[in-house]
Amino acid sequence: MNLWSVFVTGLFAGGLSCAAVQGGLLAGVLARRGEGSPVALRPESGGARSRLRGWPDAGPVGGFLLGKLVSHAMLGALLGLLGDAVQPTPAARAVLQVIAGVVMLVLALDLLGVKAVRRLIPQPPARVARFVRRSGRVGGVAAPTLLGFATVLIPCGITLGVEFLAVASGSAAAGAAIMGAFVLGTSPLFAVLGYAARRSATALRGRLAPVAAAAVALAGVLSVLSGLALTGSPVALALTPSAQPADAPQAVVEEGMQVIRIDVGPSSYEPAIVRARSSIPTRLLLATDNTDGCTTLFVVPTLGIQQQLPRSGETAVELGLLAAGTLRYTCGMGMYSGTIEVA
Amino acid sequence: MGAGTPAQITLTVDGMHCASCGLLVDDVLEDLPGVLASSTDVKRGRTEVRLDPAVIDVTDLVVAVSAAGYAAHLESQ
Repeated sequence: MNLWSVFVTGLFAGGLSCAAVQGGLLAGVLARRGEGSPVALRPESGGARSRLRGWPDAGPVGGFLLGKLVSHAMLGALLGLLGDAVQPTPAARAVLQVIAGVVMLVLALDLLGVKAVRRLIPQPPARVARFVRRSGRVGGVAAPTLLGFATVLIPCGITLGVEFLAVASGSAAAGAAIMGAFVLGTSPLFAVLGYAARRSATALRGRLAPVAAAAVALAGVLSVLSGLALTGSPVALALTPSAQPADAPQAVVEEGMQVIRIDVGPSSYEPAIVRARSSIPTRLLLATDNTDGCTTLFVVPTLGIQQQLPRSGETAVELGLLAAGTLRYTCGMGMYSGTIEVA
Repeated sequence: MGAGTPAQITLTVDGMHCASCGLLVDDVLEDLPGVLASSTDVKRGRTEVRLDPAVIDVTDLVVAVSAAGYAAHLESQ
């Protein structure tokens, strides 16, 4: 999955559904230690500095987010390693993506107050939750950072969904990047809704529930579509970003073989549409140039082809004789695709 | 502030969707004077509170939980 879309998922879906609540937890930690703004529920909080009433200390908020970022990136790396060890096929990746999407959709229903789905969302044991709370009550100056680090143990539905994406990424670096981008995405709303507005404003979070549900549902639908695209579903592929056919170039014929050169960018295949003939064997030349991201895992679902591309270089993929029609290919996460129109 | 015999009550809490919500509810309640301990079960939407009834009553708990963005009421026995 494109890191930018994970960031945006964190920004809207994660920020509205999780970060506001965790901001309230941090506000409580600081109020108890008397170093932050007083919370509305404890106007008697001692030691609160009035000059901080309008805006939080950057230190504790930064420490909390840093702790959260580090623990989530570490988990992402482990999940990516798991994906690497398992080497999921396109079909398995598709299943992971669809599961991630369904988990997010269930959370969206929960946010809308559909109580029946709550039991479907896994919750950490009470012992783990108590451990997380304790980590915010000890540790002195490091308490906010410890609390942030420990939040990895209490993932919400949207975080669980992103964890599935980290497994599907199939590499430690990509898994860490996915989880890191998600946490970074939650940061702005975390600061505004969760901490800066202080604990009393978590009431606002309740009123924002429909917006959060819509954001989470959108992220879920996109994940399901990406998964379906990996299975070669024409409907899903049609909905993933690709170019218009206006200037589709023709494959070049060299020594009895038609060659299609495709430049692989971090979020695109160029040209995204190429015309080819059915009577000549076809070779793809996939060119990467310092390319990172899911586009480097090249998948042709209907031909069962899955090829990991180097960060830079040119990789040949033999397609053989193609049947007339539209041949679709996609990145390893089903986010980006392209087509070969065979006549 | 005199200490009375501790009592245990159960609140029904709506609007929680994740473990963090449960922690926040417990945090808010345990910050109140007179609350000895609070334990929230997010899945069942229930919070068990041990409190000193001489210091605090159920209304204070409901107000505190509502201020945190959740709807709470005393569970009918």
